[in-house]
Amino acid sequence: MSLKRWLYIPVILIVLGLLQWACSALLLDGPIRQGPYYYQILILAGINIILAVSLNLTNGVAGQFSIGHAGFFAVGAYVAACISVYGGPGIHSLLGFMPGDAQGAALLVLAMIGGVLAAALAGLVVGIPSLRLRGDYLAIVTLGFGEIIRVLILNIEAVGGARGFIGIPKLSNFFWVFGGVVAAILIIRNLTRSGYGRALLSIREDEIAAQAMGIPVTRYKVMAFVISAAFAGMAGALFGHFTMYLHTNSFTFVKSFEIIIMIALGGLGSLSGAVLGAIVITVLPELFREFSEYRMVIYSLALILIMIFRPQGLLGNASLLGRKRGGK
Amino acid sequence: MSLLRLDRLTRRFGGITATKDVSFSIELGQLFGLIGPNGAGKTTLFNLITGVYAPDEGSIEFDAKSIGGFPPHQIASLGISRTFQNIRLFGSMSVLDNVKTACHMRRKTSLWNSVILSSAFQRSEIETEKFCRHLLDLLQLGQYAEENARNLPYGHQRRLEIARALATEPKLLLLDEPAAGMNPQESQDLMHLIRRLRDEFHLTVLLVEHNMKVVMGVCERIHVLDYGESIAEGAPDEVRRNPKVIQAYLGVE
Ligand SMILES: Nc1ncnc2c1ncn2[C@@H]1O[C@H](COP(=O)(O)OP(=O)(O)O)[C@@H](O)[C@H]1O
Ligand SMILES: [Mg+2]
Repeated sequence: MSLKRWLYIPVILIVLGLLQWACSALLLDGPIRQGPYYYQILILAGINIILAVSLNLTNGVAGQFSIGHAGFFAVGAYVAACISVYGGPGIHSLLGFMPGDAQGAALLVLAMIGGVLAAALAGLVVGIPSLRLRGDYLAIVTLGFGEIIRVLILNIEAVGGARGFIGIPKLSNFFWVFGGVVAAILIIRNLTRSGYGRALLSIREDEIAAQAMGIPVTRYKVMAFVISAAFAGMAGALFGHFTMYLHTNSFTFVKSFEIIIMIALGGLGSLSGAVLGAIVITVLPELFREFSEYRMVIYSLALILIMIFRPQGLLGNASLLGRKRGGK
Repeated sequence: MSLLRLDRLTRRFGGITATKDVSFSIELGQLFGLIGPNGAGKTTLFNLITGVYAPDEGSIEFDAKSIGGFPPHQIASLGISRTFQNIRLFGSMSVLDNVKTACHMRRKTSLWNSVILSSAFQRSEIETEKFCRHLLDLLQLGQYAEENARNLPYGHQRRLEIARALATEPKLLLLDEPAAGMNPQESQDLMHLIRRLRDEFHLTVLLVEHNMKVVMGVCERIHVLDYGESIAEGAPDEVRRNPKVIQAYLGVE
């Protein structure tokens, strides 16, 4: 066993640390006038990348059509925020011996773990009954789930109800968000290239044949779905601790739809496509602010045009992250 | 010792009785043929044995274990594998990945090992690749390993179906019309291949085939279905001369 294989982890951390420093120096209180605005877009792009890459595992790789990703995003965001808002004081006093920054980091990690676990659990509860059935049940159930979660949150006073959840500590930043991006991409990439990934692709290709080859189709679908949900939960935790404020308006069906557009744009099943799609869908609306009312119309048209003219996505089978994998 | 024993197996689809009281047993290591006119219920029998459908009546015993109604993946893990009459490859995956996928359940490492690319994972990937390439070479598909399965010519797809079925390391291999769409030379090769696979992998084979030359040439024992019912069983020569069998085939043609 060589430790060399793990060398890339500290390297990534150092790079992220340097970039974080660069962000603070240039964008946040640096010479660039609109710096904080660009910084915000950067962070949102990171969060959208995590969402797109994770949804792609279910919708693209395993071929199961989920349209409620925003629901898991919400579960992660609210549970994580609850942990830091309500558990924060206790945890801070418990960790009193640590420097303040380390306390914040520890609190964020705890909140993220909570958000991830809660979203994964929600994924399990939604996934098991709906993935056992063939066909389009998953789409219907996830759509319903997303709306139910939103309405539920809207009616919980402890998380602000219709006013929104305020007072969430600002714990996440470039370092954490892009640490999450790297983790999501690496984990999902490795998973997709392993036998598990091949098994998921085979389910997308032909369920009956996959079963005949010994693959427990339902269990694998649920596994992919739960992993997707867990990463959406992580994205939610990072999101809430960046914006410091959560409102259910960020977690509507429109958000779910947006994530689907990202992966369709990049080509269902393509990891680098999902990353690219997430960046495009984060940046484009910022360039065309005056059309923001027509967002849904434009998205729908875009989706239809993609389906007709480039069903393999913008990148098609090309891949920016190495060997091509099931893009088409 | 019999490896597979079907006892009065019945399956209905609405008003149609696709198989009715079908009983036979296959000895370990046997090359067993199943023939009958179109619609006789052969594929339905495959679907019953592999768990795609549950039997309405009757029992299926494999390796002295009752498997009727088990889910397909569990039956596969017990050691029954099959090819499909209407080819069902994983079309947009490479030829090699089609075969690798079928290895997954026997050769997988844990999810965690796969995600961290542990050395156990890498070793198993290398082993899997070696095994799968060997299977592809055996079926003369080695040079197409990186092609998408759906781009292969028809005859090659049939052979890939066999390679994929073998990758699950079965005890019993079910072949559903493997020679369909093959030219005479290809069917000739297929006959040799089936015998060779049986010997090399210590298989028991249940073969459904319309090409009488192939069935008669390969099988040691043949069971005949007509309209879902058993009408004859015996050695190829007996079956060939059986008036009921002749009538069933003439009646259709
Ligand atoms: N899923 C199904 N639903 C309805 N009828 C079916 C189904 N599968 C098979 N059958 C019917 O059962 C009969 C036997 O079909 P099959 O087993 O495919 O015959 P074979 O393989 O011998 O040609 C046919 O009449 C067919 O139409
Ligand atoms: Mg048939």
